[in-house]
Amino acid sequence: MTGNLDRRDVTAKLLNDRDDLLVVAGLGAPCWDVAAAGDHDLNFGLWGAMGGAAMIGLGLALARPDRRVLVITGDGEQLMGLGSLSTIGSASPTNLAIAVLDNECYGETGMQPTATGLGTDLAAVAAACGFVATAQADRPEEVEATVALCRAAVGPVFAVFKISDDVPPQVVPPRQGPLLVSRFRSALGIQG
Amino acid sequence: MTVGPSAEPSWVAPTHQALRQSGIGIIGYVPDAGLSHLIVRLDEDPSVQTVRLTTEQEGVALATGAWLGGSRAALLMQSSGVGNCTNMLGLLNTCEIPAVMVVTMRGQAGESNPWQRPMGEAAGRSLDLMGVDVHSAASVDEVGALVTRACVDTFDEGGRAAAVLIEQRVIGVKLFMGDSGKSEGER
Repeated sequence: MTGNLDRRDVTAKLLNDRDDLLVVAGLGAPCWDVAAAGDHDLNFGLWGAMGGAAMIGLGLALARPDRRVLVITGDGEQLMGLGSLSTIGSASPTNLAIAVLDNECYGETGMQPTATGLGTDLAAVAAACGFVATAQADRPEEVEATVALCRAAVGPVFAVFKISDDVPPQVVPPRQGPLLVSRFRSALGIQG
Repeated sequence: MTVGPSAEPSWVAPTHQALRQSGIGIIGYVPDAGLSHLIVRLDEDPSVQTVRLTTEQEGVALATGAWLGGSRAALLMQSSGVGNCTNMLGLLNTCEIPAVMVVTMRGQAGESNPWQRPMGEAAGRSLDLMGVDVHSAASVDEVGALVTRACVDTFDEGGRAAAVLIEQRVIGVKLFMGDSGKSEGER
């Protein structure tokens, strides 16, 4: 049975007053959710590279230890990069948080069930891989504290939000990779 | 950390130097015996951050994040790992992310493990198909210079991601119980 949290509400809270937060969005609905919260030069929204969102977050976190990095992705995307949780636990970046919007299904391909509804507890996997802070929000009253963990706790942080399987209207960010890269780097003051 | 009794091959120091001088800050790797000496050097080098990957495709995403944050990344892997990267390499291609890969080859002349041959034979062509420039080092003397060239091309000249394949004749062959033949390059 899927959760009942609202994905757009959770995403808006994760990105509220984002200041200089660096954001990576996994492909599919989380990418639309992040766009719906407002396009931003410091968003890198994926249209492919399934399984890579968390590792893009790690590369960013290591390159910019002075900034907070938040990866917002889906359960299917994270399951494809399950090994990256081990890699991130080993590297242990204190400035990286991963938030999984978990509806227990592959929403872009016909709502087929994922492993998170069939026994895989992603937060427990992350904890077992060495993430220093992990949490799962099942009910609305748990969202605030779990968002705070993602935004401020010493990382690596891993949080699961059990969202409903509702499909809100698509809001799409730019899809040109070089544009997304160059505006992100420019916003960080990187030359060339 | 121990890497066994073998002496450091002569291509290792120039390769380390080439990566340093190219300003590489982040290096992701899945170990290969042929990379063991280079890995020890890089793990001990305070100017780079090394990341131990569970699968090579993670490194492609790592390099993308590094570039977004203003760092240059290199990846080290065995030829079998190239196959693990294929779809993720589309990320470098689509987003025009520069990166350098150093690939130690298996499955070439002298290979005694037939299971290494399919990906060894396909590694260079797979990289090429995914839009990565491929340089092949057939002698110990050219590895460092090729790594430098790959770094300049991709990071300074706005070129595509680039891979340097270090051929098995440079690395040496791995021998197994019951194999006969020379033990040069064994490990």
